Amino acid sequence: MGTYIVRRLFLMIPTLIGITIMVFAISRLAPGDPVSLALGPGGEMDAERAGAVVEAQRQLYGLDRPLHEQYATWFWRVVRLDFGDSIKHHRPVSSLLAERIPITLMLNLSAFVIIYAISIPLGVLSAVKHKKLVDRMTSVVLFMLWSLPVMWAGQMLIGYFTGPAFVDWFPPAGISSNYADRLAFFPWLLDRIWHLVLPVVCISYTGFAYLTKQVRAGMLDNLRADYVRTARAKGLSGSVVLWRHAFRNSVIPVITIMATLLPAMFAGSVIIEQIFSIPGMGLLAFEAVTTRDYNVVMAVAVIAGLLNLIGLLLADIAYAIVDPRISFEGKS
Amino acid sequence: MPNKQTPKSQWGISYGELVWREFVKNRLSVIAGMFIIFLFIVAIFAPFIANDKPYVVEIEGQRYFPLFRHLGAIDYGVLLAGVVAVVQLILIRRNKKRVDPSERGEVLLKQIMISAGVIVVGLVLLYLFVPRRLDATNYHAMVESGRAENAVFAPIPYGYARTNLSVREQPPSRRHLLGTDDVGSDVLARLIHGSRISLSVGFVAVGISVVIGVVIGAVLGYFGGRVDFVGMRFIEIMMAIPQFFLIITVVAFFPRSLLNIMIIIGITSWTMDARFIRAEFFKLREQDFVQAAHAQGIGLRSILFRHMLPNGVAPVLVNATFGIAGAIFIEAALSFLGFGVAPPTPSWGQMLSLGVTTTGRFLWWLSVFPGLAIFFTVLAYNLVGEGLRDAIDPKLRKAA
Repeated sequence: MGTYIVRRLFLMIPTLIGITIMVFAISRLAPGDPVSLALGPGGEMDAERAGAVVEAQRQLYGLDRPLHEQYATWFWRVVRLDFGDSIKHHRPVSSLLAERIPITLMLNLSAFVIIYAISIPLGVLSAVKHKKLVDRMTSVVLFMLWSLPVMWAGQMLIGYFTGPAFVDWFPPAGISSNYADRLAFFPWLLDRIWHLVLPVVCISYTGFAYLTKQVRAGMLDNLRADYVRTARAKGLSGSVVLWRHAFRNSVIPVITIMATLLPAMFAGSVIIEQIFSIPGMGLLAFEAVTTRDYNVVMAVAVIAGLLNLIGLLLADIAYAIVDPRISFEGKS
Repeated sequence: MPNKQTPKSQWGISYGELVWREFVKNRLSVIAGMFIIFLFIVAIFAPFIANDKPYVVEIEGQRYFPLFRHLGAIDYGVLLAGVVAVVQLILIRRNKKRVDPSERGEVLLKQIMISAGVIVVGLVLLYLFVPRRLDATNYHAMVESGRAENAVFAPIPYGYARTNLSVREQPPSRRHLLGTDDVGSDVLARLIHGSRISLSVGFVAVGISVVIGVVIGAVLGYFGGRVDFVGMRFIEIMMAIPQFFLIITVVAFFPRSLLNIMIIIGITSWTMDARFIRAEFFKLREQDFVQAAHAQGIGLRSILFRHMLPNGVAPVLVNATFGIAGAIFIEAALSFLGFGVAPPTPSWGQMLSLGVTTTGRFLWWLSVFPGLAIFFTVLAYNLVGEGLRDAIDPKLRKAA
């Protein structure tokens, strides 16, 4: 097991290098030079002195050196988690990220748990009641949820559940109340949950529609399989056949779906954090793009890729644990 | 001499017809398809449906046609494309009855080439000859003051860019059926014109991603080995950065325009297509007809794209339909965040973003209507994709 994880970690390195190359390439392929962007249009300075200032800045940031050298310097700093300073916040990007990432992770992980907790029973129910009313109804509702644009859902929830338009049940923004610091642990937790209800609903419904569909399809396949018929013929009870035979086999592919869900959820957090003003990585990315805070943009892209890779790794490990047919020592 | 190879009675059913017959059995998908066609009609005729210029007006005894004179090259170009598409559909129907199945592919290709030629020539002519003058006359005011008479307006007499601060943020009323936005533009007029952005982004972005995905997937699948290894590592890297983060990274550095958004979505969403085609080509390259084509000395490009591709394109087709839904969603999300096309160009996502004002007021009509537009369009494409997949995948066909 240990060697398996270590080997997988080593396999991540080339992909990580690839990610940094891609992000670097995007930043350098773009028209316009970072210096002129940072300095803005020239004021009343004469051309010679303006040129000298630009040249000094280029040297300061190493932009006069060849591209591969620039990349190497940048990459070496990224390895040490030094992404430079944020222009907007006047702080190192890494300290900003350290503040923001836990919030995004908390949001996505709670959504993740909810997705699995609802999808698995619902998918199983849908498969057992195949073509009955319950199954048809859930299929229709889930399909519509799957197509529901998340920014619209978020906005409608804010509009109708946080204000005078309909009911005022939830706070419209943020992750905790102003007075949260002074609360004891349990009231604090309740306050936090109260703030997270709407955003978590928004993050989870798409994935939950997708996952339920997969669970249902997997269950249907297995319920039709010969071994289930054999189990029934042996005289095993319905629930034993369902949960011990069919369900156990359907759950394995569901774990790999984690790999599909995670990037989609990270991406969704940009929109959701912006709508609900949640100070996470997504909102940081949004603000960085609007203010052209390039160091932050590049850092967020690299970190999003890294988090995603870690998610994939965890999915693979979970898969290996659940499925006894996969050996840790075998070929990848 | 038509029909020289096969007598008409023995023509049998082509693969396309087979899929089509399965597809039309799914009523919901057909309705969704009709809704998409309806959207396209709205998009093509947008300036005739919602416009603040009258079709015809009499000023001082003289008759003018401001709406037609005001149409731009894009409006005419879209009309032309619509006409060509209809002609194409009619030709395909006709071929089914008259042309020998073995020749249909050739004939269809020729027709597509001709249509493409017509569109290109038409666009160039339009670009050269359509006047791009701005007509800022306020015909409504002229009619009210009595200077203009017998004006015939479009059913929705507002343009998408018309601002009128005296009627800003008004809820739906008789005058403005779906209300007005923060600068007093008519929401319905903007919704109608906004359909152009959504539909074109969906089409062009997916077109780009399918072309890239098919070419890369075909090369990887056909050659395998080291080429495949390197290519797959590249695909892995592309997939490792969540697509939306990749897109906003690009958006941060590159200028924002409709074309750029289409390209960005296109070049970040081809990985699935490439993987599908690669998998199909792995299977196909061992088959006899490919070996036979090789033995005949047919060129590589021809083997890949004329012999192998038609046999492996089905999953890409299904994925493309879902891809269109995805691209429409991404464009709406980008516009919602303010990274999309610049106002006054109407985009559903940008309109949606006005639903909650900076002071926190909720203007329900600015949230509900653009939201429904995005939702129904995405839903329709997803339904069509679902229907198409059921029609194409024979395994599912038996199971259902």
